[in-house]
Amino acid sequence: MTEPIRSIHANHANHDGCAEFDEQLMELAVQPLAAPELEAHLAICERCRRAHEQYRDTVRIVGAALTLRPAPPARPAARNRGSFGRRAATALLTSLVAAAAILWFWPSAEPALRPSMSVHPEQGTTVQLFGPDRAVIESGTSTFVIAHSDMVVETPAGRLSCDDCEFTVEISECRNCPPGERPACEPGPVCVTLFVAAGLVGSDIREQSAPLGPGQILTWSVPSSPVAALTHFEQPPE
Amino acid sequence: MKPEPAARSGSDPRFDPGPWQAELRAFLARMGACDDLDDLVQETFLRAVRKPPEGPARAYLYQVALNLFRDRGRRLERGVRVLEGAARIDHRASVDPADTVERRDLAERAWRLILTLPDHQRAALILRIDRQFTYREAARVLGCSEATVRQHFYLGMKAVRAVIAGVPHD
Repeated sequence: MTEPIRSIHANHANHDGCAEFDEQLMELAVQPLAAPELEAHLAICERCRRAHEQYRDTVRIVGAALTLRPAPPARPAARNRGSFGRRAATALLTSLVAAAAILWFWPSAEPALRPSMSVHPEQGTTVQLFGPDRAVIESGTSTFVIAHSDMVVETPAGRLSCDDCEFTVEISECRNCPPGERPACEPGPVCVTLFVAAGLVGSDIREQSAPLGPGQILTWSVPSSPVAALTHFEQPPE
Repeated sequence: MKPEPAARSGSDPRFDPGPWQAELRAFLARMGACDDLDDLVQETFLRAVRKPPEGPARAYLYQVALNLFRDRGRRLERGVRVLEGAARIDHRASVDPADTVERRDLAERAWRLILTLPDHQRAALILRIDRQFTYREAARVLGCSEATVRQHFYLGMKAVRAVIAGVPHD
């Protein structure tokens, strides 16, 4: 980007290359081409050399023009602050409302009850609850509705948590054994599949630092999970 | 709420928005999207999850994003956007601090022109020069043949070159 823009300034005119090479000259300006015929022609044709220089300059300028337009920060906050008087009035009104709310609730203030985690296991699923904040899924499939990030769902792959979300966890064998052969079929490693229905679900599971959003599905393979293996895979089929 | 078996293809890590988000935002911003940028990106991922692609994820995501951009971009609205875009050029974003005023002026003129190009010509320029797509990939994004993309690119280049040189183009 530091080379002088010779041709455009010097000539102030468009120079097309020879008709049979013009498009290739443009291509050459974007990326190197293996075109011996074109190279040979460029060596003898001044017209095509000038056209090629112009195309190269054009590519550089287009590249520079596009970098003038970076993407704005995500979700820029659109603010209309209004006049000082209006802001002051708003602040005063907000303070009054807050004070009234405090006075109203003060005499009967009690600790607010947090909604507990909601668990919806499918038949044959083993989910253990340890108080309102912790659930352990050992086998099968269950949907969890979670209100706070300090509520966790433990799976053989790791912990899942979120603020206000809904997700389904399925624990299965990674290898699909044909029906009826389960006692003879050698069980493979455990697979933990997460399907996010709402909210953003975070985890401490390896290789997954970014939270997962609605509609996303991820499966983790867990090499060994004695609890899940004992409670699920060794059960005889019904 | 058990996931549908068909939807399991969504577990493909290609659909993790993380790696794509910034790239798609930059592409759409360069196409001229302004206030609806985040909505377009979000909608792109939703559509991709609902209808996973057969081919490469990158070209597919660009295709969905471009189609959404086109759907939303009404011609009248675009006229307003061009003016906004031209006014919002970020001078701090210059690639090279040693750039001359003249070079920057040329780039600004080019940018204003690029915004007025037809969508497919603008997209062809952005995909080839800025995103380094091959013609095959660009054709997948634009939903046309490679020859047609070449034509769009050729016309876009000619238009930019003509305006930069101060000579009216056809």
